[in-house]
Amino acid sequence: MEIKVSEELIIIYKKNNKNWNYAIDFLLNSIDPFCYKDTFKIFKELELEGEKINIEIITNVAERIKKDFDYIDSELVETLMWIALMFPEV
Amino acid sequence: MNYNEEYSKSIEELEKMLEKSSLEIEGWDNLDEETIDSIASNLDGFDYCFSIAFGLVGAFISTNKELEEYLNEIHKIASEASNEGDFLQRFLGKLLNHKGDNIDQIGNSFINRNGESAYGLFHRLLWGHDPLSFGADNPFSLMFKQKGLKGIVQALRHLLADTMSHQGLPFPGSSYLDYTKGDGKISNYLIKISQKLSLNSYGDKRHSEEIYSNIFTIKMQDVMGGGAITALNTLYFKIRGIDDDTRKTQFRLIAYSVGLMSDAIVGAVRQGGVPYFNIHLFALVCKNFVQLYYYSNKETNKLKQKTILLIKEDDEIERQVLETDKFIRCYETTEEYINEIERGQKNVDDLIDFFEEG
Repeated sequence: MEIKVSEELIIIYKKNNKNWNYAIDFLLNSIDPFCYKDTFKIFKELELEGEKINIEIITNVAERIKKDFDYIDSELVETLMWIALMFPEV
Repeated sequence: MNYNEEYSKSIEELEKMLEKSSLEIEGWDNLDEETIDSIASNLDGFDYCFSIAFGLVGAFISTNKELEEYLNEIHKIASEASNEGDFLQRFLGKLLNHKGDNIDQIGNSFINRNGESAYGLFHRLLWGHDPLSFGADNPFSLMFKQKGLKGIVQALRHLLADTMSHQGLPFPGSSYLDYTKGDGKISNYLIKISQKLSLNSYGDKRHSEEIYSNIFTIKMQDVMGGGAITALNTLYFKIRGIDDDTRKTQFRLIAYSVGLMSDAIVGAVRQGGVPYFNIHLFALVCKNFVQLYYYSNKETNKLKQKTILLIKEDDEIERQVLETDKFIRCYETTEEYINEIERGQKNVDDLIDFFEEG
């Protein structure tokens, strides 16, 4: 699935040899299943620097996001990628 | 030539030799161990140089960042989180595919051995990755329940794949280090130790996962480092035609120890003074240490048996000498012996004179 996210975010991912599909998958496995939905309800928006570029999200990660959040769009994916980037790759 | 003078000279020399031997024999009871030459090492100069070099090669492999990333990509492909990589990475990634295994998560969350939500960074430590666990989270048991007999093989594939990740696999038996925190949740002492080390070195706990992954886990990269040392050792022994078990074990012990220490030093430099601990190399060092002890003991026992045999033979010779001695007449001094010979000679001369006169 193609998504538009901040180029600066992608640069940091590549600089740290990280994979956003793996990172999102790991993040979604780690979040508290009882309160993440409420937490996201109060979230308004995230603004990152850099132009928006297209990236690929693999099918099972896209489906996982849809399942956990009932929807998927570029903003949601970008937010998850930004949070996931801050965690070590295990 | 003055026969008597030569004869006396020989007797004098014999007496000197007898005295020297007598003193030496008396000294055997008070043997000074310091005067015994120490046994030379089985290793020569080339052995020392090459064993150290091989150890350094092993450490280089197990701490190389490029190799770490290469292996990590295989794990990502195996987790179905990537389809990049070269042919070998994609091949191994597909072979070790473990997406959706209950070893990692139940449902869609990481859990601990109490079934609670687990700290994701340490999910392997807290659930499903200890083959020595006898609880519900034993990886083989989990995969058997999930996929039947195929699940046993799948468990192996999963654990093997995890050794290629950044973090690696927690060492077997780590599940027995669980404890209950103040808030009633399950954690593990290895996390506590890693956090403490991170605090001591960096002033915060942010490096605890990194420290944990370099001390308490088994990684394919570490196995490759140890494997390289083993392969180089074997090649070296073949080229030089080395057959002596003790020498080979001494060589290996040096190589693996150098590898282990060098690995540790690299870690200490990279992570604020906390050394890496290569579990695979440590196991090899221990194995060869035990082997060296065994071979040394074997050699000592052989020497002991030989010594006992020599003592028995020596006792037998002494007994035989003492037996023959019964029939040999002894003289206190050389003069007595010479006088006896002269007396005997005189008797013979007198007998001859008697017959000649007759």
